[in-house]
Amino acid sequence: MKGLSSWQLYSLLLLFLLGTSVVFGIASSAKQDAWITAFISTFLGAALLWLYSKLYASHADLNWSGLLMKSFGQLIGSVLCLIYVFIFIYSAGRDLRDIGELTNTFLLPKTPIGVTMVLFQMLVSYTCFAGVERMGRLAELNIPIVFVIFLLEVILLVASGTIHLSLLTPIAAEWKPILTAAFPGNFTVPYSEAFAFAAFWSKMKPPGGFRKAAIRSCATAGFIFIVLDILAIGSIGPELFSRSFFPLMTTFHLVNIADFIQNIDPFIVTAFLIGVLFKITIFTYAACSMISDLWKVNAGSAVIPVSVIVFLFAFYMTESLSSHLFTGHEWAVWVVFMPFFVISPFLSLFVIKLKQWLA
Amino acid sequence: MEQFAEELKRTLGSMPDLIFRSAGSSLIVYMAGLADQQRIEREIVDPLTDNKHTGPSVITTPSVQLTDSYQQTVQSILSGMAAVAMRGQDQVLLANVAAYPDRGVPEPHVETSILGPQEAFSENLDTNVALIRRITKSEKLRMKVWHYGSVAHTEVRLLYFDQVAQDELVQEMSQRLDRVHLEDAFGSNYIAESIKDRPLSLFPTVQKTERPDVVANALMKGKVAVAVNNTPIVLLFPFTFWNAFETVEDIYLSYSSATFLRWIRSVFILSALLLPSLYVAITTFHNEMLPTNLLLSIAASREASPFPAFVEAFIMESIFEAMREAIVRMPRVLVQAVSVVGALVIGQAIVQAGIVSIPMIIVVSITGIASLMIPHYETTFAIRILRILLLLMAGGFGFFGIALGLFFTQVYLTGLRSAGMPYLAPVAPMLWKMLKKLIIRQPFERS
Repeated sequence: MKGLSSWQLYSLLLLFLLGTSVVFGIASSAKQDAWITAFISTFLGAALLWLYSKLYASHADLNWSGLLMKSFGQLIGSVLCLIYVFIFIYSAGRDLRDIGELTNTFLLPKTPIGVTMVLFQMLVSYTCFAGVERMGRLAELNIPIVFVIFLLEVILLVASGTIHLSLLTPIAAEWKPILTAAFPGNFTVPYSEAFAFAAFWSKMKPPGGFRKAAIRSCATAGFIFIVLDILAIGSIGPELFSRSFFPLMTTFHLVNIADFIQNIDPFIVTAFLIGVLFKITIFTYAACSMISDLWKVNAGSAVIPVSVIVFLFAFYMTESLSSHLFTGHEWAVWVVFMPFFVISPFLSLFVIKLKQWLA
Repeated sequence: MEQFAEELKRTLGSMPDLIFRSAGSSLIVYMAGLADQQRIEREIVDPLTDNKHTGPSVITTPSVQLTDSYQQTVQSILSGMAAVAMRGQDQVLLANVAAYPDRGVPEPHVETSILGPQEAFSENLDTNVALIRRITKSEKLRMKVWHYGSVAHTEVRLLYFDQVAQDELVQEMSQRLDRVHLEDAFGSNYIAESIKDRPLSLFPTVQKTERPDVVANALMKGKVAVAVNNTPIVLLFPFTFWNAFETVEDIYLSYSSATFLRWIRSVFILSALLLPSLYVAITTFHNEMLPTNLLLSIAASREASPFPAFVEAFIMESIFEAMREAIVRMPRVLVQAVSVVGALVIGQAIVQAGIVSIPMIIVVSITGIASLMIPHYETTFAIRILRILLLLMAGGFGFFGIALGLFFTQVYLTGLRSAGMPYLAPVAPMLWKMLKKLIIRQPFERS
């Protein structure tokens, strides 16, 4: 097994974390203090990723399916595995829907959302067929592009002169919204979602390297979130920032340089597609590798059926963007992310440590 | 001896270029045109007639050998040697006086350079290898030899530097050459398609060059070369995607100019790939991205054209590709005619007739110039075909389609390899030392 280099894993994790979050804005419910929330949740996220790597280090040769079997026994483990397959497919479907809505709003208003989602899921399937090693290469091919575009965004916004830092005041007048936006909000999405990597982490890197790459990518993602939050709030103000579906898109709409570079949102949305591609791909691939562990089949043979289900989920998931977002913020957090990506890894680690201590 | 002559006449037929000559008590057989007649006269005929006792020792040709194999004799005569049969001996003496017709060392036509050496490979394998040897002058240069084709016996040589080229690479290429079974091998492309990775891929996985300095440079950096007799094109392995952005000129220019040119080239290669599809996507789907004034002037000039931008782009692209092919194929004297037809008839008339709008012509022209900048000829095909595919995607789905097309290409490229080397190295996987050399043409070290 060759695995990934640190840089590849870092890029993969970072693109995954940026994923859909840059589109929908980070912690927008905290209004002008969203950047403080982003700051706090970076630490929470780093702690969570550190916990994941501890879990990984307990049995360095096992993926999450193996760990489940180890800690809860064969039967319950298999059932839990199936539930996780379902969870990963659901998460992939959510993100696919996100990208469908985004494309529908900003790029192709007349194209049916089903068509764009089918096309995108085809790309995701192709990437899943390619396997982990090629995903890593794809990530490091795209990470410079993402950095350049991020710099470009900052430069364009600053040069347009739309930023008024006074909009950031009063700083931390109320701590309650800041903390509730950080936990569970920003903490679960995107940081806890990185648990999808657990489904195939033994294919990527030994635990030590995984931990380093995870912490570094978490720090970078946090930095990018903070900067984007400050830019967005400074440009459009806390009210619009918290009410808008796509606060960052609203922000970039303000870019205007010499009346020549303006309305760059199609470009920005296209750039966002990079992160989203990785996010859906990782979730889909996670589901496929759980299936392959469970039934001892090749992960590649599961790609097509899984992709079809992901698409069906995405298509029939919701009727409108607002109900989709409501489900994501209010429901998925407590039903999906907290129990499956936070609590059960905790529990599993606890059981494993207990068994080791007893033995 | 007479029997030998009869036998030869039966095998080769009594051809006018098969020369039999007797000198003293010996018979000399050779092919006119393949063997150097003056040398035969001086080195074989004269000593044989002058000397009293005849024997192999009187012949002054530097390279001679004795053989009793009839088959080898026939082959040798066909490759330009002179066979000397002596009365009372069953062995035949073969003297190497071969002088093939060839065109010497020509000037490069495909990979031209302004300040670099002006010599290219020719069809003669020995000359080609000698050119490489003259540049490298190294005792480490090694060659392995293969012959393909029962009729032509085309010689193929694998060249590499001992201890510089990795053993796995040399072994891998040797195995691939071992596996080749070709009835005929005209030109290096027969060999290239048989030994390169993914021969059906759009992207070239082998570098083809006509320049000895390029080959010598590559050999010293650990690549391996495959030279094929009767072809002026030498194959280099491995070839990665980014090699297509480097030219021979890079090492003959100062480092700042070379770096500047490399960046300009990269920008234009990117626009060769993307410009038409971006134009179609913006004018069809994302009008709002254009500044108002520009939008108005583009809309005004597009008013006359009945076609959607996508169809316009398709028409112009096809015309450009056709003109490009025409210029390559037709006799050189007619090039003027095509430029008149191209510039006046198509460029001007198509706009006045209102079939294609002016901005489209500008876009296609820039794209055309840009695609002519690609230093590696075979990569241009990959870019040109991809450009058409991206145009289709842009016509259907705007920016989303372009992004999708680019992603598909990227995923595809991550899986390509050339002789074991990942195709996108040194960017993916990242090899920082090599990447530095790619972004900036490093200044040569001062001593």
